Formats: sequence, structure tokens, C-alpha cells
Amino acid sequence: MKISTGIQKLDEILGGGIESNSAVLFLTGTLIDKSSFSQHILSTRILEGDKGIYLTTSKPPSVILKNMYEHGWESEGMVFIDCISSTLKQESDASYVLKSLVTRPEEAWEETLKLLEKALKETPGLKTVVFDCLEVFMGVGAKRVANDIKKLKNILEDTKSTCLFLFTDWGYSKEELEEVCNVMDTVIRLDTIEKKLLWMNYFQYDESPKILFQITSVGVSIYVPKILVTGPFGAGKSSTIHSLSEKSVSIDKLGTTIALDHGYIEKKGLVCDIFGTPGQERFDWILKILSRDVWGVILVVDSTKPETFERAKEMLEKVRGYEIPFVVFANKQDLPNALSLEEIKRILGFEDVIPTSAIKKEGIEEGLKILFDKIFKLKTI
Amino acid sequence: MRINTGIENLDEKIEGGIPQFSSVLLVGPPGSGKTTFCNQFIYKGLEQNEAAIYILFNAPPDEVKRSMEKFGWRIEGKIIVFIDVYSWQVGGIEKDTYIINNPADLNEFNIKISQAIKELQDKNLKRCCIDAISTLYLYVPKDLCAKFSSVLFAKLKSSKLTSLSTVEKDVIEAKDMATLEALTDGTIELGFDPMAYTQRLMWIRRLKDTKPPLEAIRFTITDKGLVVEK
Repeated sequence: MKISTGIQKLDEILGGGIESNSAVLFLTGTLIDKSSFSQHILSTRILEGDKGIYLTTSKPPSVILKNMYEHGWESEGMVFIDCISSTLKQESDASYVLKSLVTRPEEAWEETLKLLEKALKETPGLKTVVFDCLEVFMGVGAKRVANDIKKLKNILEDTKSTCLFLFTDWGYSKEELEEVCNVMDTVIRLDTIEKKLLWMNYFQYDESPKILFQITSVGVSIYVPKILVTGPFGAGKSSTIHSLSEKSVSIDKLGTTIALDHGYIEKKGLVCDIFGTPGQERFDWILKILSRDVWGVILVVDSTKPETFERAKEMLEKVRGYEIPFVVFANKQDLPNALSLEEIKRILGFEDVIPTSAIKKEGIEEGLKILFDKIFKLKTI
Repeated sequence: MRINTGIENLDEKIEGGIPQFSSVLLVGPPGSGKTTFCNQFIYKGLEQNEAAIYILFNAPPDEVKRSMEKFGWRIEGKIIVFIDVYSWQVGGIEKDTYIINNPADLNEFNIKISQAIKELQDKNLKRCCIDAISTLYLYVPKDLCAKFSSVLFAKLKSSKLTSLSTVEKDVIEAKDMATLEALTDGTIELGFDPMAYTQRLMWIRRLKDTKPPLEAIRFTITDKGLVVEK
């Protein structure tokens, strides 16, 4: 049976979610906050009725609970296997406590497995386990780790437990990684792409596209780095950005944008940076610069001014909008002399035209959703 | 290109300083002068309007600033980022500091170091000290320490940093020391003359692209910091 991770896009590329009672590996890069990513999933599972078990080797339970609380993630009834507090010489009130993580690797691994097995057997009902993190035990060798996980999988099955293993690749050999990956039912990659001094996180399953994400105050959100809003002078681009975005900055002069608008969208499960372009022809040189690395374009037209539609198409051409997903916002639909949607479609020759009114905030969200759907259908990095 | 240490008469003995972009281990027992060596190295850079990153496991930034001031090394207004892996034990929070709350959380550590490098990248960032990298071995299994150190030293090198990492000799085993040596470009050992215990000695055990002096180097710690005998 497939169970949801709470991250819609991840569920989609997994074909509906992760397999219940299975072993899932999150193989991660060194710059990813893998703990937070898994805590989002764990909280979803707890909300859906699972018991949460958290095995920690790097931070005390109190730190994990605080982080979950700050993101608004459910942690009710979570059981901790605390493998770190005693090593940090700190008290622990967890149900299961490892004596020492650093003395002898074999001993630490065996003891940890025993504690996990005990927790699985003593905790009733369906369970989701976060094992944070597995690479700590690689000192016993990849073969040993893989063999023991093979045995553990029977216990997972018997105790109705799904285990999310977190594993940062600090430079293990191909053979070592294969040993560990091969024993898992599912392997999901979490890593970063570095671009112009910015890191972008992504997740990927199998041959799926790399899905960018950010971990915001509300959890794991899919990230769309750049949406461009363009269109003729006076079509309502700035108003469109303002109505899309909570925080937006407009560098303008007497109500007309001369440089660019910037907005930031944070909706449920999605964050997006959005940039506006000026509409006047004398600023067309900016269009080319702004069009770099764009994921999608919103072309805003004034529904009352069909004479500007040719200019609109020219601008779309200049930001290379024909090559990437785009939608048309037929703005000012609230005005009495606005052309009908059918007419606008006919004149422009485009199908994805959405009637909007930026002033009244109508049609904007629907239009954005259509654009995102188009982006995720096509976008691979 | 060489990075000067700021230690009187030492640079002359090692062809002008530490080869740039190299990672050097500073090994010795407690009290042998490792921390002062680091402080001096960091200050020399700051004085030359370079930026620096100082990763602290064994003392909070304030204490380090105070001990630097004793030598007249004032760092106000200089560009330095402290990464504080000490204060988690006492729950202290300091401003202008990257705090690592969980010393065993290598992901968090790696992210913070990368952020610090990014912050200083266009500010003439040249130097980094880690005092003491051996402390990590108290919280993280050795095998993982070695993996992490390898990622860390590679990152420092690719960010064009020249680094000193101190090693408390008794904290780590000979085998782990050998692993650290394999990951770095040089080892400088500090200690005392077994025949005359008040005489401080320094051995350049190995140093990339350098013909180090074979015999022990005698040095003292004065009010100007470490001073090597001519």
C-alpha cells in the first residue's frame, strides 16, 4: 500500500507515495538539512495515525521537538531512540538510550539495532521510523550495514513499520553506496545544485526530473526560481505581481515600472520568485537579460486594448516565452469594454488565456496554477 | 605563493610561509602554544586586510578575543567570522557568531561553514583556523570524522583558503592521526625539549612544496606571541 509523504510532488514521482512497511533511503548531499525534510514526512504520517519513532545520532530529542514545533509539524506521541545525548554528556529522558556512539563502532551499531528492534516491538500500531542518520555506522563496513538492514526489514514487515533511513554521502565509494542502496526498497536522492553562489535543493526518485524545494517556516515547499511577468505598457503587470505576492517591491516612477518588479509567492507547498519587466519599448534590452533561466512566463494583456496585442506577442518573443511554458492573463476583465475571452484567444492565437482582474484579484491564482501545471509537466533540470 | 604566519623568524625558515591553499595540522600537548599560533596566524591576515574564518571548539569567541588582546592583537573592525562549536555546552549565545548547537550534526556544521565562506568570499578571504579539529572525535565516530574532514579540507582548498587545524595529541589515536595527515598538506608539531622542559620546540614534520629544516626549531612565547630563534 502506498502512503503519503505530505509532499505532493514527491508522492507524484513515487507513483502515489512510499510503500508501507518498507525501507526507504534518503541519500543526501552534504548541504541538505535532511532531518527537517524527514520530519515533515514523519509529521504527515503522525497526522494520518501512525506512531512516530525517531532514532537520532546527531542531536538530542529536545532539539528535534523544538524544530518540529517551530515548523508547525505534529510530533504527538513520538518515541525517541536517543543515540547521542550520552555521548554529549547530557541527560536524556528518551525511552531508549544508547550508552556511547563513539567508543567501538561494532558495539554501537549492534546496540542501536537492538534498541530499534525493541522500540518497533514495544510500540503498538502502524509506525513510521526516521533513522537519522545511517552513515554514522559506516565504520562497521557497508556490507555489515546492508546485511543487518536486510534482517531488519523482516522486523519492519512484522511490526507494520515504514523506516526512512537518512544517509549523507560524505564521499563513500561507489561499491559502498551500492551495498547500502541495493538493500533498500526505495532510494530517493536529496541534493543541491550550486548556481551563481546560490544553492538550490532538489529531490529526485529514479529517473524523475529533479524537483527543487526549499524548507520554509511551513515545511518542505516546491521551489520555482523564476517566473517572468511581461506585457505591453499599462497592461497591469505590477498589479498582477502585487496581487500574486505578499511581499513585492516595485521600482517605479509615477506608477510606471522603469526597472523591475519583484515578488515572492509562498502558497501551500510552493514558493516562487517572480519578476516583472517594463513594458516600454525603450527598455526592451532588459527583456533579454531578464529572460535568462526563466521557468515560465505570464503574459499580461489589457483586455480593452486589442491594438496592443501585437506588441504583447513581440514581448513574449523577446523573453523567449515560446520556448518555455507560458500563460496569458487577459487583464482588466472587470472593465465594461473588455473583449470577450474567445475574441482575445482568436486575436492572439493562444489557447491558455485566463480572464483576470488584478485590481479585484480575480483569476490570478487559477492562472498561476495552470502555469505551474505546465511547468511541472515539462520541467527537467 | 606563500601565506606568512606572522611568527617572527619562522617564515624565513619555511621559504616565506605556508604554501597558499594548503591545510596544515598543528599538533601538540595542551599548553604547547597551538592556540596562540592560530591566533597569531589569524591576526596577521586581518592586519593585512584579509578576511578570516575561525572555527572554535574549545573556547567561546569572547575568550579568544580577550586572549588576542593580551598580545595587542585587536580585531575590532576586521573581517572575521567565528563559528562557535563551544557555547552549546553552556547555552551561551553571542552576537556576530555562527553558533553550532549540535556538534555531532555534521550537516549543520557543513552548511554553516559554507555560509560563512559565501559571506566572506568577495572580502579577500584567505585564512581559516580550526581549534581543535580533534574535539570532533569526542562526538562523532572516527570513520565519519575522517570522511567529514576530507570534505571539509577539500572545501577549504577549493575556496582558496589556507588553513591551520590544531590536534590535541592525546584525544585521537595514532591511526586516526595518520588518516588526518593523509588528508592535509603539512604537519607542524609543537612541544617541549625533553631534556630542558622549559624550552619550547617546534618541528616542521612535513610541508608541501617546502624543504623544512630538519632540526627542531627553538621558540619562546613573548608579549608579541610566538617568536622563533634565529
